Amino acid sequence: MDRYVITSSRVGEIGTAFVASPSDDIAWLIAGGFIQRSDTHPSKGAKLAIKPDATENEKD
Amino acid sequence: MATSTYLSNPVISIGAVDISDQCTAATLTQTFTELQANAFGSTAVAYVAGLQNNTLTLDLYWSTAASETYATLKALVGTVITTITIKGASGAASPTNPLGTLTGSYLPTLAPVYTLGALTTCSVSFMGGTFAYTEA
Repeated sequence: MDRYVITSSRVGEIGTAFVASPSDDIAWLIAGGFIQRSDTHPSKGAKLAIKPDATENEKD
Repeated sequence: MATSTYLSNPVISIGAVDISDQCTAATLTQTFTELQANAFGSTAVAYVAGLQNNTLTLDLYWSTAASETYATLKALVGTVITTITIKGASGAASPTNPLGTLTGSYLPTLAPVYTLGALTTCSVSFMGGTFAYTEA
């Protein structure tokens, strides 16, 4: 799902996420400079140094 | 005498875009076309409601700066606008601050007026569409 950030105070607080309603014309809002697509993607989970299922007992 | 005085705080939004600070007047004309409904035996003209024929006219300053009047309206000429809302004050909609919503109106013209010695203005009329007030 695309995410948008507000770039004009006419739409809301600048820098905050724009929550679109079904009636919003996203292309028009982007063309008018009111919002833009957010480059922020959900962060990936950090890799663990030790796998959760790894046992502490090493084989002899 | 109870009155409603709007000095500076009506809120006009075209879609999600609040254009209030460029607007100096908003004239909403809510109309139901009258249809004559007379029949033999009628003693006076009688009417019933026909189609809605609403118009919302906004007087705006013609700012061409980013995200201002020009940027808002340039792509809307000749199109149907999903929603335009008008409210007397910025607070929540209520019985004393009704929110009017014009849905599916058409913007036929965009005509800025450049005048010597005066701020450039633009009067736009959104025509047609359905209109309704909500109070909550």
